[in-house]
Amino acid sequence: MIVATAQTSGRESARDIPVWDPLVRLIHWSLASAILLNSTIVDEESTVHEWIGYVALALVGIRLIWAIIGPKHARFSAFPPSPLRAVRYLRSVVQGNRTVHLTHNPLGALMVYNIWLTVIVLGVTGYMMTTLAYFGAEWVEEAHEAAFNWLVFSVALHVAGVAFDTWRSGVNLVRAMIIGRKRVAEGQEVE
Amino acid sequence: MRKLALIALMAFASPALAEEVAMDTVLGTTKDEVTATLTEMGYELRKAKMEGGKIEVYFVRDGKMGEAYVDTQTGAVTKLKMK
Repeated sequence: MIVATAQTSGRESARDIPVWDPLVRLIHWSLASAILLNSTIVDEESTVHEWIGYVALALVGIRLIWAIIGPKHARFSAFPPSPLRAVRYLRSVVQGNRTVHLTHNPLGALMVYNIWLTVIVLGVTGYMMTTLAYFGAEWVEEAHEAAFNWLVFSVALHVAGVAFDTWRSGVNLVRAMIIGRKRVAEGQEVE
Repeated sequence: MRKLALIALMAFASPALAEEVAMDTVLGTTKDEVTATLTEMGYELRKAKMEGGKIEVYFVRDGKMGEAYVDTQTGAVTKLKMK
């Protein structure tokens, strides 16, 4: 386990643990920006919308490769998709468990895979609309729209989950995704 | 010779083939009319639906994709996107 003692030692001392490498953070915030731009101010029929979509697709692609070759905490193995673990985690949360998960908690991990998959579906169906074969095909457009609605719902749930976990564990997750480190209180269990 | 015959055949078979959808082209005031006109012009209709009070059509011809909005009052194309 990597433990770095924070500068401010004393009774309030906490461990500042590096979790998210620069690429993970860059991809996270770039993807968030791409989603925000494409769903709000960018005209959905514009070329800009298409390019932002391809950028989002590429970001997810790079992230998936990084999850294989990247550092420990960025890897799939650090947050395997497991509904069973998610259920077990949910039960422990209800019971008041405050264990800190270094990477994503099991529920958050599922959300991560869900969002990546949804962005891929959006990117692929979006690209299909521009091809001669699927141009004007109703089902492709409907799939794109359904995926978009699902993404909006997922992002809302993701933000709520981050807020809840920050409150529950006392680790500011937004800060962690910005500076890369999780500040864990003294004596708090880490998984 | 064969080429010439082909050109002649094309010219006779569908005189409307050379006609291209452009801004202000009158296509019709109903979905059915617009569909019929475009088909006659040699376009493959991909979709036709009402969108914001206009008839929105997607069509394909010679590997090119087009999307047009048609005014239901005048029957003319008010917005056109070709790719």
